[in-house]
Amino acid sequence: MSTDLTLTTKDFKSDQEVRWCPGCGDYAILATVQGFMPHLGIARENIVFVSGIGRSSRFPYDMNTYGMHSFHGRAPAIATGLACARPDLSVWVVTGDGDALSIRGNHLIHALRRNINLKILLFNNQIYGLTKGQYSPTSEQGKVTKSTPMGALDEPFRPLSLAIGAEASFVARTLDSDRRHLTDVLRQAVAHPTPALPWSRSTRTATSSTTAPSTPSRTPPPPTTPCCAWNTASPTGSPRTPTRSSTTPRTRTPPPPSLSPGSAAPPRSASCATCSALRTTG
Amino acid sequence: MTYVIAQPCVDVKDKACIEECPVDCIYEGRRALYIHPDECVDCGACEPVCPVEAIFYEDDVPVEWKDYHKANVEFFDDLGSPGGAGGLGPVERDHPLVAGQPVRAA
Repeated sequence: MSTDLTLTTKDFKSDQEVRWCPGCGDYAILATVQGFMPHLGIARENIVFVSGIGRSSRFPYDMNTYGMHSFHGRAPAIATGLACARPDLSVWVVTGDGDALSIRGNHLIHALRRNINLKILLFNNQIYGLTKGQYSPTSEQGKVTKSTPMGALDEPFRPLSLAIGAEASFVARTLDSDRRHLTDVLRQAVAHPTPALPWSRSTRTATSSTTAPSTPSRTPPPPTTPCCAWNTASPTGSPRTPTRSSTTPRTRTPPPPSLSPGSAAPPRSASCATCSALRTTG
Repeated sequence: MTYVIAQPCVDVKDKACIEECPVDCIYEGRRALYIHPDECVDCGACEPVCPVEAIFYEDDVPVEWKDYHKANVEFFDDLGSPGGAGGLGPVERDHPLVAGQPVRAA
């Protein structure tokens, strides 16, 4: 990979309009990743962001690198091919809780087990934001949405457990609003020699999601940031020992959502259509 | 640069925006609030909740308040990037542009 030490955060901002709901945690994740990229020392033409479908998956539009807005849930498969064919590239997958854990969970687990040099960022907002608020695999039990008017019955899916079960060697969890911790997780994921799956939980706003950053192959899947209602992104990570962030969230910011089912939802944005819908139904 | 708090906030400081900000980047001065230009992530959550419509995207600040962009930037010259307004607490000073505003009648 060629290096260009003169890159700045601004160099990684595209000319596209960022289109998430006001207050969405994905904005914080985007800003953090754009701020982190110059530290990689990798030229923009050697960086690729591959996404699937969902709130999180607009990410490649907003990064001034190469990127691909691909098929629903298939980003890990496409990125696997790319990383194998071009080992000189820095390949990142951006996905969400619906995209990675529901639509095509199989691609995620196989990308994780193959030890390919990918970094998977999973933005877990615990809801389907793009389609206006149906429950997702990570929605907490009892959550009232358009598709679960009596409350979600299922136990929420646990991305980190899945990633560890798939033999991912780097799994981490972080929070969108904790920029320092998110950056640290990204740094650790990059330093990890094989795939890593960090996921960050994104809280707030209809377009929020939880994201888990992970490095693919041997690393747990990255956090996804769901849009709408939850946006916490948190990359974390030491190999096979996912840990919660030890940093305390800033005052006035919503606390990191608990991993336990049934935890209280973070505040919703007054200006978000999906959040409004959730508030009405909930 | 990102969102800017302009003149309507002076001597109002409703702080609804502070509650809404997901990254805690809106800092309290003596007479007005200020958005940290490097910590703001551009999410736009603050703009619709301001009861006096004092918050604008950088490119949309009305001509008469254009200087408030500079005020929001320069307010942090001495503070750097504290990483969160909650941890810092209120700052007992203002940018000269704000300090020079006539006191608003109660």
